[in-house]
Amino acid sequence: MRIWTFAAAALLVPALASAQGERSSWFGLTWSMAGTTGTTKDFVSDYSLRGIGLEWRQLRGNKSYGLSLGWNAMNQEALETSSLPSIDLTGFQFRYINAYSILATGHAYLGQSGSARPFLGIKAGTYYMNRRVDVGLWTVSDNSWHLGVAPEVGFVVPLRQSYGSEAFYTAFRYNYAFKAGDTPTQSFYTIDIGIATRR
Amino acid sequence: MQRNYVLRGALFGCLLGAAACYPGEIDSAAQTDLVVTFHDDAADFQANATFDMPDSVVDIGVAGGGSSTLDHTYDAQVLAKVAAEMVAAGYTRVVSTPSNPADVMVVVSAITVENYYYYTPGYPWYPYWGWWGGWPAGYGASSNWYYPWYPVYSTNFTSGTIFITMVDPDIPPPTAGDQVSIWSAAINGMLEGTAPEISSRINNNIGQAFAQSPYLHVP
Repeated sequence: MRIWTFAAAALLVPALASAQGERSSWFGLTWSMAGTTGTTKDFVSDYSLRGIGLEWRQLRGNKSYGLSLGWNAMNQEALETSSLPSIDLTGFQFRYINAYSILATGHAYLGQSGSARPFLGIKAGTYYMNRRVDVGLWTVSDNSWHLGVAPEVGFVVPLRQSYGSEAFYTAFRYNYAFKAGDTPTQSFYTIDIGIATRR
Repeated sequence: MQRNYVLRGALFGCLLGAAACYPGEIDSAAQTDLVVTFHDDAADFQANATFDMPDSVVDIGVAGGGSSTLDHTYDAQVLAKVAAEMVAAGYTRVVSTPSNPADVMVVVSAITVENYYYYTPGYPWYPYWGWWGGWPAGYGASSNWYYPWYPVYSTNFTSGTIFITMVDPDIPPPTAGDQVSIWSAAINGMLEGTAPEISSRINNNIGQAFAQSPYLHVP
């Protein structure tokens, strides 16, 4: 956890402190797809097409800082037998994870303004995880708040000149939410596709 | 103007993408079935070779002094399937007598419960459209939703549970007069569907109870 905290600080702080040059705001809206990894994959392994992201970035030169909000809904259904000491249970399990994120962001951009530009970023903040299992006529669920970080790579492509300052952008992000209480570390990656407008 | 089209198109596309794939839900009564088995870790199942079982299903509602809606249509099928699974597991069915008791007794019981729910048809969309930013001030994800042009529906369904209990008379109970169960199964689900469907689910789920209890098998 300490390594991730230093990594987030190392990337976020310079973005906030040293960004210079022309200032403008970026508002982005993305369709967010997700896949799980690690212990999260043990709970839900199916790839999800359901998610949405909202983002604001304050651009200064080749750097930006901002805020990102996200929601990803992941689910899986399967006929499974689960075993506990002295107990075995078989039924259709409908498992759901709703992951909500509120993250501060820092990004650095390569290339020249006005052309397609790759970017690197780090996001850090909180994740609210709602996990639910419906089995038979019964439901079990838990909710937890996590601290987390999310390194990100992507690229932005300005749309045609006649469309003004809109741009298409896509990003790959690895979300890592630290263990919180009895809830283990949660991790999932997202592929975001969206549009941004710059003012 | 083109700029507005781009933004509106993106907004609509994202909302459509988020809402289009409604998450998986139960779509048949069979998917509500749950088979749970419990066993005593200290029990020596291999020491048993014979079993006996009553030829009726105990109605727990009536046995408990209350009323009951238990449908006994499938009693014979349930009892036959349990006995067949015991035989398939290697046990021999006997008529237990005081001088020649069976190694284990198998008792089958059941209960039904009526469940009621009330809902409005629009409710399932709430988690999605609550995200839309276009609602007038004062409305949003936390608002209560009403659909005055729709009636409020009520629905009810019957759920039921079959219990299969294996008792070993050789194990002294902690309290005189009680019996010690070394294995039990609870099969729970909605009692909905056609007769062939219910019949099939009964056979499948009783079979599953034994399939997930391989320690029951005796030489």
